[in-house]
Amino acid sequence: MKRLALCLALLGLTEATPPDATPHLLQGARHFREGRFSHALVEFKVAQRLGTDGEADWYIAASLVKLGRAEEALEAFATARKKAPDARDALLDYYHALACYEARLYLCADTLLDAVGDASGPRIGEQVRKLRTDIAALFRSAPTPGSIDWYHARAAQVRATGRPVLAAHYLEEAVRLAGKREDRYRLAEAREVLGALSERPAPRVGGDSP
Amino acid sequence: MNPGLLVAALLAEPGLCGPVTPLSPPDPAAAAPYVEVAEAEQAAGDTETALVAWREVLRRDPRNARARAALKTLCRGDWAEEQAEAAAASLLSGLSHFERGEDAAAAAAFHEALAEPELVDTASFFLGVLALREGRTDEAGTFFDAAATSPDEGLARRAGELRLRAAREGRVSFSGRLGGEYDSNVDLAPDGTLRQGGSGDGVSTALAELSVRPWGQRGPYARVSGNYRGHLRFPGFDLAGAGGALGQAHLGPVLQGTVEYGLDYLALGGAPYLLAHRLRGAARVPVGPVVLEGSAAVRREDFLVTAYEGYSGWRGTMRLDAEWSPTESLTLSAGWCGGLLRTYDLALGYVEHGPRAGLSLGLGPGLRMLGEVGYSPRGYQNFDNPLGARREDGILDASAVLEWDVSRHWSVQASMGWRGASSNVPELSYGRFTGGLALVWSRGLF
Repeated sequence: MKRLALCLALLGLTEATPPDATPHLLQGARHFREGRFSHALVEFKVAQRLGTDGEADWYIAASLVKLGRAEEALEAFATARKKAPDARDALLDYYHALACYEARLYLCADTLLDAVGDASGPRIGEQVRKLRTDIAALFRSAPTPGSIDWYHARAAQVRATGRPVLAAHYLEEAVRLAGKREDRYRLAEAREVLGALSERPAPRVGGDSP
Repeated sequence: MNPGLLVAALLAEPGLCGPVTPLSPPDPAAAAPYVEVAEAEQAAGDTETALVAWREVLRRDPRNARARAALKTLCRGDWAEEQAEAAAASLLSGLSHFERGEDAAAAAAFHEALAEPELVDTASFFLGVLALREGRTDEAGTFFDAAATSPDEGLARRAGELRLRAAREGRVSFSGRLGGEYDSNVDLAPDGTLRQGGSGDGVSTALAELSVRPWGQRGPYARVSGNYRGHLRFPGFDLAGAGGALGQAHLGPVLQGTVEYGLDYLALGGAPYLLAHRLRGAARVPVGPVVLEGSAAVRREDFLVTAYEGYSGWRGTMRLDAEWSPTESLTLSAGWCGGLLRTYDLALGYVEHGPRAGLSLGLGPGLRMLGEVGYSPRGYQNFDNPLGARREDGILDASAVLEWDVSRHWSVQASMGWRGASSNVPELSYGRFTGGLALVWSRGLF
């Protein structure tokens, strides 16, 4: 969290950040550091509206994670990756992983956590290891058809509400889960629907999207 | 109301439905992006974040109707009632602090009162006064603009007047005056003295003044000025002057006062004429329904022309006035003023004192009339051998000025004055009329 605040403080020195947005980014960082995540989210969103070339989107996503709004966070991370791919770092990937985990996108979370490792310090590193242990426990056996059906259903629900990026997240998880079964349960269907989506999130880490 | 919103509102942290303390000064433009965020969050069903954003809107724009309506809805009406009560208490507290001269505490309380739309005009007015005192004239102007929209006509009118003052004052301010007038008796020729073409003349006048008040109306200040008075027919009476002053102002809850040292230089007809050092103190204090104002000054005058050296010496003046305002637009004053002149040429020294009365009348928005009349018997203290008498004079002065603020920085002045001097030495009696127009430009530069 300290690192996030530091990153935000440094943002004030970047040429790409318009002068009007910087005070809001810094104020948002203060709120975030002090645990006032709603206040932080508001300031980051104001900064986003004033124009920050995508940096604010990362911090909006992190704030949404802390507020327990995991699905919105996933959409915000997708936007941030598209608009400011160079602004991501290990800490933000950790928050992204938490968003995936909270949204039951365990393989998505595991991929991100693997990339984070100890890169964000020993305390985060310890939490990364714990989460990865929990996720590994979930996949000691092959995923059940019922669990894969849940991802298909959730993808259909969010797609119907006009959230294709979120639908893509659930379908990608369904693809990867199907890949862990010998019968590749509903794999072709997931790929077909995924291909038909109008929007898909940018690759999470190193372009390993299915 | 959406049940989800209601539940979320109940779960929201209690402080989010408490009174909002506005920032200063109001800035609706800065509130605009918060409105967008608030509406988006409310539409997304996140009440807590929406409340945070709406409160930020109100902090920047206390009159924002959408924010007030949203908070009232999200907080089930309790917010509006609590807000109104807190704001009213803050206003009363602010007034109490204001009267005691506790400006910082008063400003904080008035800022809290800004949260209630019905109190915005009153709170803004006093915040403007406080900002003006400290020389923050841009901020004062913003507050007076808000107060000038008040349905209370008296408050709106007063705010409008102070708005002009805020535009014309500042920590650094400049004022320039250009005018022309007719002077019926340039050389103060005695009555009955016939001079070819008379002693009347057309006069052009110019004045420029730069003031620096680093801490506003309180504390030290400095002023430099230059002036010129040129005659069409009598260039020998042209006056050009320059001067400066350093002073200290006190602005207490009851007593206001200044102490000032000044240095003036004057040239007459293009030649050095007068150098004067002056020290002046003035105080103003309300006593019941009237305001007492007193001043005392002493001036060391050195005439730089041999012919006038006898006039060099010390001049002291004192004045005491009582002001009374029976209505908002009318102020009457009455008092006594006196002077003492000690010169090298003892026959020129005198003592004078006598009554004076004045009035200030607001005739309409930006239009006012000032008038003053006074009479002073003047007794010279020594026998004047060349005259063969000890002079006893009487001086009657009357003047009137009509001022019209034509814009925020410009005003027009029409003035007229009369001096009638009688003397026991008949050839020293004279009368003098002046009347003219002037254009004044004043602006706070910083």
